[in-house]
Amino acid sequence: MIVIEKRKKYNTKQNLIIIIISIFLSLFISSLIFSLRGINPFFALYKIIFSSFGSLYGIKETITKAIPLMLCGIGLSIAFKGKFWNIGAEGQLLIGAVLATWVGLFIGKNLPSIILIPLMFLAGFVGGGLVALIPALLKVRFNTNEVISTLMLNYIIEQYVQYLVYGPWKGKTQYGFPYTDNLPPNALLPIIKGSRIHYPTLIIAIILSILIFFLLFRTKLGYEIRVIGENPLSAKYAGIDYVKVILIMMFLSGGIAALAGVGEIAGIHKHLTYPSQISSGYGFTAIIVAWLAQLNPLLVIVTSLFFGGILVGGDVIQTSFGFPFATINIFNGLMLVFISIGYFLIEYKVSFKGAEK
Amino acid sequence: MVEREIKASIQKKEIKNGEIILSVKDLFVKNDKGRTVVKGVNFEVKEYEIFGIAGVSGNGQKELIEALTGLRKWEKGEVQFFGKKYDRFSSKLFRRLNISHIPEERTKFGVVANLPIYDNSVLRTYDNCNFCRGLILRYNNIKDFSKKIIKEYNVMAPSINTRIKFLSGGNIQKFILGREISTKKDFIIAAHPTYGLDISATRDIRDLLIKMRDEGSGILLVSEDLDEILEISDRFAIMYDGEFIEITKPGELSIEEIGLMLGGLKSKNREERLS
Repeated sequence: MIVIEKRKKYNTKQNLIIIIISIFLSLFISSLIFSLRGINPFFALYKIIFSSFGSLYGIKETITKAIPLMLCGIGLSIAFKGKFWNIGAEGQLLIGAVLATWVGLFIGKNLPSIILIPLMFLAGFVGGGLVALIPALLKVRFNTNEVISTLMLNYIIEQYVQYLVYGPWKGKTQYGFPYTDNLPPNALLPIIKGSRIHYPTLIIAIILSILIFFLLFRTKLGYEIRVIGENPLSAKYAGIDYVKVILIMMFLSGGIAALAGVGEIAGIHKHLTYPSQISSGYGFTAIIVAWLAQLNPLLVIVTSLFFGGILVGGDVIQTSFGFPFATINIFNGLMLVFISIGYFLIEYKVSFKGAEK
Repeated sequence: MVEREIKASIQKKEIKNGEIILSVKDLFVKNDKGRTVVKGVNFEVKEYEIFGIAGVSGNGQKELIEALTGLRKWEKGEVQFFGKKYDRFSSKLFRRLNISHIPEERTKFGVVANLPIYDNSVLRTYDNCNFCRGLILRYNNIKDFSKKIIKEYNVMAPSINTRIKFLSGGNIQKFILGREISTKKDFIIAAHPTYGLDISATRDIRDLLIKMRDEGSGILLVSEDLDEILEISDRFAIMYDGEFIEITKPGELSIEEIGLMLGGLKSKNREERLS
């Protein structure tokens, strides 16, 4: 008979071991996939890790990919702390991209960089926040399941971006490609020479991770978010305004995720393009980033670098082994499954006992 | 035998006459299903007084307490706290009053199981100026405060960083009581404060309530435990089907009479006495 009971106590060491074991198990299962294709899994893993962390070029690419993951991961940590399952970071990121293009290309194209770029970030933040308010309002008003509403909103926003780049915003200078015109130079983010790292976004991400850590663990709002997340009934008993806190929390969550979209547009793509080009599933990968960091915004910096590396490695196994990019999604999926199991095992003790007579 | 000995250990002071703190007039409250379960209740609680509500669970006590603590709207009637009349009430507004609330189910409402003790120590006071400046919580003060609670109210806990779910029921209840009465002294609303606790925790909690009463707090005590009501309350109501059948003092009615009333039967003697 299998007996599942709540652990009476647990410690950080055990915690860490369980997390490491979950990472290794997901690596192990992914190796099976490599083996099935006749490739030595150790060589494949070596390739993934070496290509992302083993060379200067790799490290630069890893950081580039870690930037949007970091911002989305921070945004998601806030919502997840309040047990609001925001699966909509992908859509929120895209809205950030749309608004950055709108401000950069149409509204403020003649403004100097020093005003225009903050304006783009601000517009993206507000836009992402407002979009995230939709599922939040549905939740507090009609008790709609937020997993579904946030997830479905992603597709609506994706289609909206498609519509923009094929329709009204299609650029005249892009030879018929479904891109908007390129942003003017004053709307572009500076990058570190010889790389694609748009460092202003990176700096924003790191500052935000510190600020949000502070917000969650040292402020009144953070306290209210944590109480609501852990026990909505005692939040009611404590007189915490559920509606207000949920709305502010989701506005922040969506807004920060949207900053990632601004960075991608103004730092990398320079124009709005198909949704799958702007974001290769950053909003979804960020869910794992946030959970692996145990919803700690400071740790999100580390885990986003790790997953940035995995994404770079995914590109490399595509080119060296001819694997589809989806292979890396299998790895990410396995990781999420094992981490979830790991968290369960941190909370509960499973033991096997003979049937009692 | 043990119980007798422990019982003898407290002595209530004489009843002093205090100001009215809570006055409830003709209060009607509906339950979740929309049925009226509190049907026109009238009572007052003064300083230096423990007012008990005895009754079998499900006769409207829960809804009455929820209405008085801002967790539930009432249909009609009047509630006055400290002489101020309220038409409606939110739990946020209630939090600002100087009233302790020991909720019915301690782990469901009273604490946040997964948060450490120090976070739980300010659940209903986190926006007091002592614990927060502007938007920022003053964790030094909060931690000092939680250490104080643990020490003063004999809460057995390894440290203030322990998550509160690892404490026993009695210790959680002592912690809640300590947390509440060390910041909000004027009035205490306690629902089933000793439900499911061991003898010694029960004793500690009853003693604390009596001590608070002797120091001038008004206390509204809801309990299913008739012994508790008879032991510590100064006056008590017998609640049946949403109404107070009788408001009396311990010792005035026999256990048999009270028992009949708890089952909804009015005392014959009393009817005779009145006529």
